[in-house]
Amino acid sequence: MEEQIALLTANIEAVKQSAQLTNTMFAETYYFLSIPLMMIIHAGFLAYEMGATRLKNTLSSGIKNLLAFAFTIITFYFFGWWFYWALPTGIDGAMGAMEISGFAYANAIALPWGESAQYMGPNIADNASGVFWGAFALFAATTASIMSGALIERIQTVGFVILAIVLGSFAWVVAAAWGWHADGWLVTKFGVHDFGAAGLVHAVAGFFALGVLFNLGPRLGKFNADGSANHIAGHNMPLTVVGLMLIIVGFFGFLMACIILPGESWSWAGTGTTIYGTRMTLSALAFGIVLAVSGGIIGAWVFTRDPFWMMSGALAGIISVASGLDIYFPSQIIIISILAGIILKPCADFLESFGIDDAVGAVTVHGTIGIFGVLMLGVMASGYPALDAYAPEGVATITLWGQFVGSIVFILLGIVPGYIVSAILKSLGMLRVPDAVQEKGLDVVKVPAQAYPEGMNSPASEDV
Amino acid sequence: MFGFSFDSWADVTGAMYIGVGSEGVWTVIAVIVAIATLALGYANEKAHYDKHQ
Repeated sequence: MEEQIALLTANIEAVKQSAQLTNTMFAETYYFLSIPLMMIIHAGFLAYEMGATRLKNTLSSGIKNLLAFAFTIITFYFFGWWFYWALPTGIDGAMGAMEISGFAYANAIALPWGESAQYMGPNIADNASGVFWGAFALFAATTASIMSGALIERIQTVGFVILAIVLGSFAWVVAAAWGWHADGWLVTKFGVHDFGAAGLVHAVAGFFALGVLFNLGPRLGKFNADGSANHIAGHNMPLTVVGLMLIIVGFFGFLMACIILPGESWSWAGTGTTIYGTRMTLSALAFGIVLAVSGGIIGAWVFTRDPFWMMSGALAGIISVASGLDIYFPSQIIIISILAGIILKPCADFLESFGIDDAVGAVTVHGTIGIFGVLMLGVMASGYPALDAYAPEGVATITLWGQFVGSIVFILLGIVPGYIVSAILKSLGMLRVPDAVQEKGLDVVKVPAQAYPEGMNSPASEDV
Repeated sequence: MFGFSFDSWADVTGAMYIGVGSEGVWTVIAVIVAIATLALGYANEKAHYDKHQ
């Protein structure tokens, strides 16, 4: 009898170990696969921005995208990951209640030297650090790339790369530490809830781009002497529209990586949760994302009838509900995303009326709609707990006031560094491409390749 | 700097990359290489702008 009990106990233990191994491998694979899915966002940005560029600047726009991705990923390894874990409670680097933040914690797990280097490279006992870092690195590269489209056709490559590094490996990382971390002070003190990063990624990037645009100025020929604006058409609308659709596809990877899976030592609960530990499912995302895309397309179509703005509306639809994709009811998502699609173009026109040349509407799609999404959740979800039951007593709930405070912080974390760094680059002559080069075209000046060796031509639309 | 700190894969329980203990040196070199490439890229691009002004 005792032998049978011992055998049964051993078998149960073996089954438990096997189940744990399966869970661990599933979790590792889940986050790993989110990384190439997010790479599709960058395939989208590449197509979208090259298509939105005039023929003479096509390849130089692509080069800018490739380098923004590459340098952001590298610098996120050097220091971006460290900032995320170091700063949640504030710039003093104190450890928070969850004991997963602060300078000491970041030094222990996120530096590529010393003892912490074991978590920043191959480690047979660590199936999580690499895939988490990889997913966050793609978040960072995505944030940096959001700025890119607004600046096309007149920004210098290296000046842009420096801005991308500041945005992708610092500015948004600070926003994420404060508002996208269970110890983040915006979460614990103000109950900020931004599951899908409408504010801390999109708004930060959009307003960072706005700060840069103040110093960069418009493309030559964008505005007339009386202040009226001219439309500068990109050379390939189909490529642009397909690029936007690819960005949408990639956002499935982005949003799936925002879920913390259950069953691991780093998990929050026995179910899937948000990064705040509040419970959610992938099914919530399945409802939300496709409905938001659809709502955004429809909303933008009403007044524009333009596939560029319709696909921008799709992106705006997702961004408008991203903060609450974990808790919105699908019918609410339909309403909010259609509304976002409707207000998109008027908001872009309003910005242009101030003499701002946001070439692809990035400030509006990501900045304005990002803030709209953060605030809408404050209206819709006031009273919900911002953290789950494990959180310390007295933690804030979601409120419109909290979402408003978060919005202000996200705007400042974007526009202030964007303006200051671009002003420095401008003073160094590293920001704007010389006018003579803009007129001639960037590709012919600095790219030893030709976009369309056989040329291209198509009739102009009569529906203007 | 080079090679493994173990003789058999059976001994591996944690970090398993080349150069355990000298990560900081490799990282400093990588940082220098990254900055140098950016500087070289800038010089190259500026030369092309200057040529067309």
